[in-house]
Amino acid sequence: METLSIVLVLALVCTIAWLTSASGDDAQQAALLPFADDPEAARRMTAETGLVCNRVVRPEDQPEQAPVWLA
Amino acid sequence: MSHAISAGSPGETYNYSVVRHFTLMTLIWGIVGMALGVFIAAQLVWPHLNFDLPWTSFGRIRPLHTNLVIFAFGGNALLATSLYVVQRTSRVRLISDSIAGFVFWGWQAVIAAMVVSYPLGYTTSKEYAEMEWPIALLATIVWIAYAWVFFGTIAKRRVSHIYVGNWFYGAFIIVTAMVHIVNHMLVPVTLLKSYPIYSGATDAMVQWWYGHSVVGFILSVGFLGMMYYFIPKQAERPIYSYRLSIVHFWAIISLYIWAGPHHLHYTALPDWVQSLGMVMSVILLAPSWGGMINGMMTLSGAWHKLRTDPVLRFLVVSLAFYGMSTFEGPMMAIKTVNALSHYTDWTIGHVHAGALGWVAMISIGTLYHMIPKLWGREQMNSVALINAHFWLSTIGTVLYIASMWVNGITQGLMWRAINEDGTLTYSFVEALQASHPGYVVRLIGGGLFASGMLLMAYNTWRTVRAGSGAVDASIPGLAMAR
Repeated sequence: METLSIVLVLALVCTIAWLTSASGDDAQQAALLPFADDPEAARRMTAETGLVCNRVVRPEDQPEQAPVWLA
Repeated sequence: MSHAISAGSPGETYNYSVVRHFTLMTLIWGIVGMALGVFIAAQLVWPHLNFDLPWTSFGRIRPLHTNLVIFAFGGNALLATSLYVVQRTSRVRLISDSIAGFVFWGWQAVIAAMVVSYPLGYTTSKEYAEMEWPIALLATIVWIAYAWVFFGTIAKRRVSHIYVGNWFYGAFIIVTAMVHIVNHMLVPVTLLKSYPIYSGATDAMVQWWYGHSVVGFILSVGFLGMMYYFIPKQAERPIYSYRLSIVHFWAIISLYIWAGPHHLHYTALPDWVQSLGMVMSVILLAPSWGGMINGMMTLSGAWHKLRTDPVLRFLVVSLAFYGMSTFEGPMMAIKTVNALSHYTDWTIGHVHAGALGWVAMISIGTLYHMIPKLWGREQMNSVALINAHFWLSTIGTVLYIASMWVNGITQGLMWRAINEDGTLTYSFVEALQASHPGYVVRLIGGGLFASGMLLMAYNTWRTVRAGSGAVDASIPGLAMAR
């Protein structure tokens, strides 16, 4: 039971620490990470939701244009 | 939280090769494992199918079925998707192609060894841990190599934040290693025979601490990692609440490891341990449903996509089954309910609500998302076949679990029924006869589900053949945008 208490307290501390340190924008940008390396999907997501992934790559930054299916 | 993304080498690509290998083996082992399940379901309808041969008997094939669907189908699916997700969300190639290749071939060798040894009767007899010590040792080495590849890739990531899906995959890797090693502490007697270092109730407790952690950390936490990446990608919506996903992560990894004793209600295990397992199992409902709701709510404003996107339908229906089975599990862990359900087909139905409805359906949806990308196509060859597969899977799962609920409650009630003089009302054989119609329906349900996998294999073959060949996508994102 002692180990259980330690684990639960640690988990609680880590969660509270993260939740209090991250701003709403940080959490939103973290949630958008799956779209960051996929400009096409990011564009459609932005068009539908209005959310903008700040970390998405610009297609023009790429050495060559990757086909949609490679993204 | 930093937004830093550092530069990589021009022309650098993701290692999709190993992901493709794991993907194909997921399909192949899925078909083999589920076909074996259909075969043993048929044995329960027509016992003559045991053929009076030891190596085709139910007792030897059933562990092979469970191990193949968990470690071969589920394991390869998790290996494929975790190595795909960790590269894409970290925006780097795997830390080592050769070690990744070793993980692939080593894992297939572990599975092949199980396929050979189980029908021959070489097992430890511990559920989900049947592999004898040389196979368990190889599995440990391969798993450590896998951990090295996964965490090594995270260590050299170019994106500072570690996406939550990777947290779930990471916990799955660490805890699986831990419980596998502890449960396989044994004394080898010969090359193919060993005895555990634990005995009696301690051995049983360690075994079910392991057994339930396999359910918790492979079949739940691992596949939740899959859910947190692929549902947002397919729905083209970010996860509903990232904060909730963090709470979900810490809560579920803190709680799952304590639920094992509910497998040993009314046994020689100390009563307080049973009660602790029951309480922790009931508490587990909260994070499980928190995660399920987080996944479901991701579709807010996008529910219309379910009409036209069968891949998304697979993913969302899998969450519905996850919610259902994670409600059912805690209820079955309550001792009074367990007194009725334990040792009956209700347990088999519960397991398959999770295994078919959640694990298999989210894996199938995820593979349909990944396969076109891995082989250079915009989408799978036939969307109609995906649709057909979806309905075969859904109807098959419902038939399977409904028949086992009916059977389980029937068996539980018949076994506990007593006459006024204290004698049993029904013999075991009478309960077995009452179960026979349920076994027929279960066979039909399982057969439908397995036939869907054949459609998927055909669709995949057509997709691969029509694709532009194996592709390794270049790693984008060498600069910040906007």
